[in-house]
Amino acid sequence: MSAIAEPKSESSGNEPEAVAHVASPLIYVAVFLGLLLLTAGTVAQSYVDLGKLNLLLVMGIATLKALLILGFFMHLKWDTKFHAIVVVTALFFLGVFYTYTHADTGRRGEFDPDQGGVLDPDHAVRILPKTGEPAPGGFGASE
Amino acid sequence: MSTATATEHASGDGRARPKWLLHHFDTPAQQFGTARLGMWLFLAQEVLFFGALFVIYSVFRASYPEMFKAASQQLDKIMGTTNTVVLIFSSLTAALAVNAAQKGKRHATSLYLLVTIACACVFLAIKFFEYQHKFDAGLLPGPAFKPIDEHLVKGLDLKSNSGSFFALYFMMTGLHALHVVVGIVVFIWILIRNLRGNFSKEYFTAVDITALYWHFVDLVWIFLFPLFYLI
Repeated sequence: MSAIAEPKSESSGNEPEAVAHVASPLIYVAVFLGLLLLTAGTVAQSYVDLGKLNLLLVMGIATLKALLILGFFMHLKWDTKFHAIVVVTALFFLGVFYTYTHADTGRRGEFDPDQGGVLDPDHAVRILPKTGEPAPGGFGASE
Repeated sequence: MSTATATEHASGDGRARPKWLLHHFDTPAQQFGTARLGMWLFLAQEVLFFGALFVIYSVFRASYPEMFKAASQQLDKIMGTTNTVVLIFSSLTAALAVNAAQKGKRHATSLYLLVTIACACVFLAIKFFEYQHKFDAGLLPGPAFKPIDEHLVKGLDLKSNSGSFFALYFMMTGLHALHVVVGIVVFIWILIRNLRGNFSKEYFTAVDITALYWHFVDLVWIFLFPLFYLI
């Protein structure tokens, strides 16, 4: 039999085996209450300005909620590990996409007239804020 | 196989096969596992589909953090929070619908499916009123962004380039709302099949993978909500 088949404990042997894990409804209700609590937490936090911590906290709470949904509502906790690998792979490539995009757009420099950058679109020069040097690449970085 | 009866037909090893077990699968577990893997692969594709928009969002937000903060104040936090709770609750009832289907409780499954569909409709209704306010206030994407003061939340410095915030807002929440509409249609189909008695303790695959899809729609909203409403 397939590896995902779990023998059902209460089956008498004549019944066909269960094809999936049957969780207690109480677990789902508990997860729901957890999700509500985290939602309340993230909304309450939005009224307090913690500067750079804001985004970190908000994404942390959202990730925690996502893990609860993936693990329990979507059965990954009891499921074959291959489905978890599918999810992690998708997120990994999203991470690659994110990292490469920001490695580009985050280093293009700014149009800063005070540092020698020009706002005129035909002769625009992007300047790296830290060094004042013209930024490499990007649109109109050099003539 | 050509002499298969209406309800059961014999497999190669002479064991009776249920009608819902397609001939290219050996066991119910294999058929169920294949359907689930298919849905997970679809969801992996959806992660990248929505992911592209989330990356665009992050680039714009990194470039214009102040503009995002100001424009976000124009969104209704109460409506957003209500929608979050509605969607989380619909995820719970979807999970309970699967649970009831696994136990062969047909009526309970129908009831949970109905509540899930109702919650999805409430979500869309709230979204409609939110969009209506944005249209009235001229908080529209790109060049269409022409804020009308009397409809705005007062005392806030709304930047002139906020059109890109609202472009992302409409694109991402709109694509998500489209997923909600698709979810409603599929859930109605599942409900009809359940009422017809297509599902049993042994066969509930369609309920299960539709719920998987629905949980994913909930997941996307869980990230959309803080990124747009709670800046």
